[in-house]
Amino acid sequence: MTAVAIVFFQILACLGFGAALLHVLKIDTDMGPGEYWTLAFATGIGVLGWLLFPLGILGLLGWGPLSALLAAGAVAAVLLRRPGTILSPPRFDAVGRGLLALLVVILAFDLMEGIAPSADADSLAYHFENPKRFVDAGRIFFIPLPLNGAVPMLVQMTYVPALALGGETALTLWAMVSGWAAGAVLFILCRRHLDVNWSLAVTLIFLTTPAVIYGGGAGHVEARNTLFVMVAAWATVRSFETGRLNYVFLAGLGSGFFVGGKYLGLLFAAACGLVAIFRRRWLANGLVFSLAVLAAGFQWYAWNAWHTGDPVFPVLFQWFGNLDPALWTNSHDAFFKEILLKVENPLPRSPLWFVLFPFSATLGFGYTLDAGRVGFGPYGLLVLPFAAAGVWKFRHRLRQSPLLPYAAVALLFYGLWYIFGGSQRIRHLLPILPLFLICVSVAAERFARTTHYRWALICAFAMTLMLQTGAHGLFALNYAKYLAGGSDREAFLKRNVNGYAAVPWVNKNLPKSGRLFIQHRQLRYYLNMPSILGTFLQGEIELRPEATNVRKLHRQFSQAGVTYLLVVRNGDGAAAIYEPPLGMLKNADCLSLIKDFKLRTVHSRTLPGLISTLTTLEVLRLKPESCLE
Amino acid sequence: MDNKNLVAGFLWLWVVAGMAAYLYQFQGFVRPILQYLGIS
Repeated sequence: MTAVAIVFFQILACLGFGAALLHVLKIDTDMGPGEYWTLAFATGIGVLGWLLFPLGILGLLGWGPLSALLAAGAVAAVLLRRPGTILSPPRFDAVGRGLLALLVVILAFDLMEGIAPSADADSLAYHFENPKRFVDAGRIFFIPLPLNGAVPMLVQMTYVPALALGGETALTLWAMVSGWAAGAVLFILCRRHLDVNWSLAVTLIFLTTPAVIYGGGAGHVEARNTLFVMVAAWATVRSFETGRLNYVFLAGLGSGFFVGGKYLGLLFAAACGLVAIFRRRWLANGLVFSLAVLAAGFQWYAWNAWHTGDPVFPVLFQWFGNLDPALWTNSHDAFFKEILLKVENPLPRSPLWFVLFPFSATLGFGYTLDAGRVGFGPYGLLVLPFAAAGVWKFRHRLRQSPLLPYAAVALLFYGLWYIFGGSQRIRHLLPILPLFLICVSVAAERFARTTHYRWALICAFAMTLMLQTGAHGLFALNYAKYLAGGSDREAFLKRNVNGYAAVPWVNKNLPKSGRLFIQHRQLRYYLNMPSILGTFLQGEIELRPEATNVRKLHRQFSQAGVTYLLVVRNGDGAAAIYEPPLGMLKNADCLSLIKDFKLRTVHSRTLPGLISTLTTLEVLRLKPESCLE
Repeated sequence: MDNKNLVAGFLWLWVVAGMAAYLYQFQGFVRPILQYLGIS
């Protein structure tokens, strides 16, 4: 019950912070009720994440200051307009009621995930792990890991109060609620252009998109960044309609919150900024927009620059980097970027693939990273000819269309992402998916509205919804089993988190004063002792076989404080017993076996039978340097 | 067949063929799904 109460407390605080911001900007009286409540919540999440940074710097992430912060937000909620006097709920016909029922089913699926322990690898490795470490320390501190630590963390900071005050269940429930908020804002934005049934249908398509199922209820920032994107895009349109700079400022704040939530926000701010200044008064608009972006998003870049010399660590490290060489060297930096470029960007950055990429990521041809299971579903492909025909049919009205800024922002962001983005995983485009969905759905609906093509479009909607809801149900079955099985936490985590079987033993038997070298990053959240990732994400221990020798390797392990290792033992047919260069330590008799675990590696939580292999994890003790004599 | 019917036919074909093409990439999922649901 505490967890639920804390989540409601945080929801109220976000509504209050958002209401206060909209009030200060003097645009709250200018908004429809739906827009007001949903956009207040979305901006409030950004404000909360922003405020937690200075609190973290000051070492005020304890129970008292966090409670006071949420209380301040809750007090600000008095500014909210009363729903009873302004909200008139839409009327639903039979189709609408059916769609509402489907929405309830989908929310129930999400709720099952929300009350289960987190099992998502990225969340356990850093989205939830970093806030947990901040809560334990009572402050924020620099984590010298590219991608996982030295990144903008405005969104992850909103997990801090939920975790600190309400525990793990409040954390996962907050992830669920903030994921739902994206659906609510999308519904409201759709209502400006579509009737209630179509708006509900588009919202359902979004909530059941594979990438949303995957990350919406977990700690992934993309689903929450969609909120900031929608705030920015909506405010940009309103700035065109009203000519008021207040809306340009709000568009900048929305973009800035995305900048504070992920490096890709920089590309979005560029895209949205270009659109926002496109019409009249470009200089004034540009200055106001830039100021707002800086105010909302600069802090984590200053934090990175302070600690590494590089505000976007490690992108500019070869020019500006000055991090402790014991943690990150120029040679490791070059190697890391080479690996990242190769692994995360399998498709060429050519004009042809720029056009083909959405089809490739939808249909699974070419080499696209986890695009099928964590992609955007078939909807965009199915409605493409309807939307294209709609654009053609109403081409004379395009310049005046309020959707043109949405389309321009989305297209510009896609172009910048394809050229400059660090990874070609399609889920990184999720923040602009709502804009895409609104544009194609409105264009398709306008085309089919008055013709007998309508049923083909309805069929595309219905087939997509059926398929995606089925997939969502399959995803939720894992959590239903957890709840039906008496909520056996250990059994659930063993079934869903690779390598977890070793964690209870490690927590019980290894001294917390040491440090554990691990190859499974998702174990970090559940481990009670400090750990270091045995991957190329860190430069403390050089893992390139050609860059090290056994003495250097042992010295780096010792300097990093490593006392034990939890590593995968390769099968009998493998060339080496452990991944290189760890075999060198084994051959030098510097590792002694303490315990081994035979377990099944699961490559899909939803479908355990998809790919599953037996593996052995070993707990090894690192012997003193005298082993090398 | 007039133009409208031709367009309607194309759109229906696109929707059905597009869905089939999308589903094709998941052909390897059928058995694990059936196993998971206890059907196979």
